[in-house]
Amino acid sequence: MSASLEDRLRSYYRDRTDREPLPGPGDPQNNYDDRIAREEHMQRLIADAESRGGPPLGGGRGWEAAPVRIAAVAALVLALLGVGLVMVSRQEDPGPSTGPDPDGNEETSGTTNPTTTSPNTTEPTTTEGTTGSTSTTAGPPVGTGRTSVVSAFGELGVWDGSRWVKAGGEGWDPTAAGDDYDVVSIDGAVTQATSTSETDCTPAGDGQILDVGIGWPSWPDPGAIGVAGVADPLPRPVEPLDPSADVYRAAARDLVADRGVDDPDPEVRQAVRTDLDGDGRDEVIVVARRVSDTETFFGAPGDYSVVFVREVVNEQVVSRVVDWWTTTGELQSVVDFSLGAVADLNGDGRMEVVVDEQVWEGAASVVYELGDDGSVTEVLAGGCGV
Amino acid sequence: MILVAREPFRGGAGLGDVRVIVERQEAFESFYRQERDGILRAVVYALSDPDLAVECIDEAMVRAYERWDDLDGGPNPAGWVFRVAVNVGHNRFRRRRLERTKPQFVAGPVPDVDVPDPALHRALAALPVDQRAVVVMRFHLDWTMEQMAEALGVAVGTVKSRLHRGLRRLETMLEKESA
Repeated sequence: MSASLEDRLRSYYRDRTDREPLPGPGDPQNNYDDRIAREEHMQRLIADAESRGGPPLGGGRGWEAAPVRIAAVAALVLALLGVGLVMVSRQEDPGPSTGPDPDGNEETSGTTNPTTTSPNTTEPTTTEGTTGSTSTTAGPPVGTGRTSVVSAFGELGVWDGSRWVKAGGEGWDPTAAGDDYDVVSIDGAVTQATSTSETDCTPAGDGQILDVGIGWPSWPDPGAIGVAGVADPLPRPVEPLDPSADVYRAAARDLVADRGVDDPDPEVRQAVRTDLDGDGRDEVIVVARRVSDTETFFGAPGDYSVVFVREVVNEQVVSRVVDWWTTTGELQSVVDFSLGAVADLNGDGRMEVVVDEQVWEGAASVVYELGDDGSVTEVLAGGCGV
Repeated sequence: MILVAREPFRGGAGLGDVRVIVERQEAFESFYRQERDGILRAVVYALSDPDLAVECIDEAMVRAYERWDDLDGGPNPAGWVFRVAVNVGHNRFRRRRLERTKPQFVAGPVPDVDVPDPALHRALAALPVDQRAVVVMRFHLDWTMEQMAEALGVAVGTVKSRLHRGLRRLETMLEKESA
């Protein structure tokens, strides 16, 4: 680091401190009304924390029963104000509201519209040797039971028998530790693990997450996903393919070109073959990217990372985009994809695609459901870091 | 402080418990008065989102009070609050990120203020939050490497590495911008 940058930073922060007032209510030492407003807000925050069942207080000192806690914290707030109850009863704007659980997950549904290309290749195979004109999904089984999906970041959510429920989303009932999970790896292995409760990934460690022994996504280590409640999470084999094959590089080149990126030499990281929907026809899932600077992980213009499915539709092999990132300008952090797993996570006989996303000092796992209509829907997700 | 004694007895606490509560509250009150605004300003700089920073500092202060028995007398309770506030902000960013189809992993909104060094301001805003947090600790709060390590709960070497990478990224961005 240069001394000039250090001096520049100190000067920058010193000048900002001189120029900018603090956000929210002002100095509690000097502004009486603002003090009340802010402390009322704090009381509400505490009440929210209590109502959502926060972590136990007090470290076992014998006084941490909830009513005591509430009263003590409320009294603290009053003490900070140095005023009586009558003052606290004033109804002033408490300032910004807060969500129910700053460490929890919120519902994060999203659907992407896939892009299709029509290359003259037929690399996905037809395992039953059929040449039907339109792909059809194998019929039931329809998922009827509850399942739980766990990644390196804890329980991503559940299938409640009729719909996906994301961790932290409406209707989510966290699964307790102690259940048996199948851990499906992208390399085709299925192992068993009993879930345990572990501290979450925040340095404060305030939350607990389910753990089935899956490590953070770390390419090229194989990714995995844990699932409980599905009789056969790997109903059809997932076969690793040679990612250096020209056919996949050509497919990636065509696909990114359709999205305005010129990359004559895509780096294909992964390619796997499986029958995602059980229709007797194989699909090939491909991960490709271009990352110019792998040291700082800054994305240069034209850098990208993509996960796409090669599939037969109307006698043509087309590409359906599952996940896509590219720079929209300079100096953005790269988002690097890899396949976490391909597995049936809700017991309906179709296999979901789990994409691991690695960023600068952070990672996430995202579960996508691929529909017969060409849709790609993010159904579960979770991660940690920045 | 009379108010403190009104309620605790429902939980079966005795006078000794009340004394503990009062002493605890006085200690936290002093900490709150001395440190809150300074930490808030640092959290504003770390998150680049003043409104979010206000929410996060409140949440962190509540958690600090909940854990005050452990924090009081510790090496750097202000650092703990700063870290928790930034991490609460981290998680908000993460949720925002996951709400989008494609994450960008850049900082929160850059506040519309008359900033003293616009190029540096933009570069800081583009840093990952954890790197920006160590920059804030070092160059705004003027903490030593040891204080930063205590606050973050990591080794000094980790802090040095994170700070080095953050500064290197800053330099890279500033060089590109000037070019």
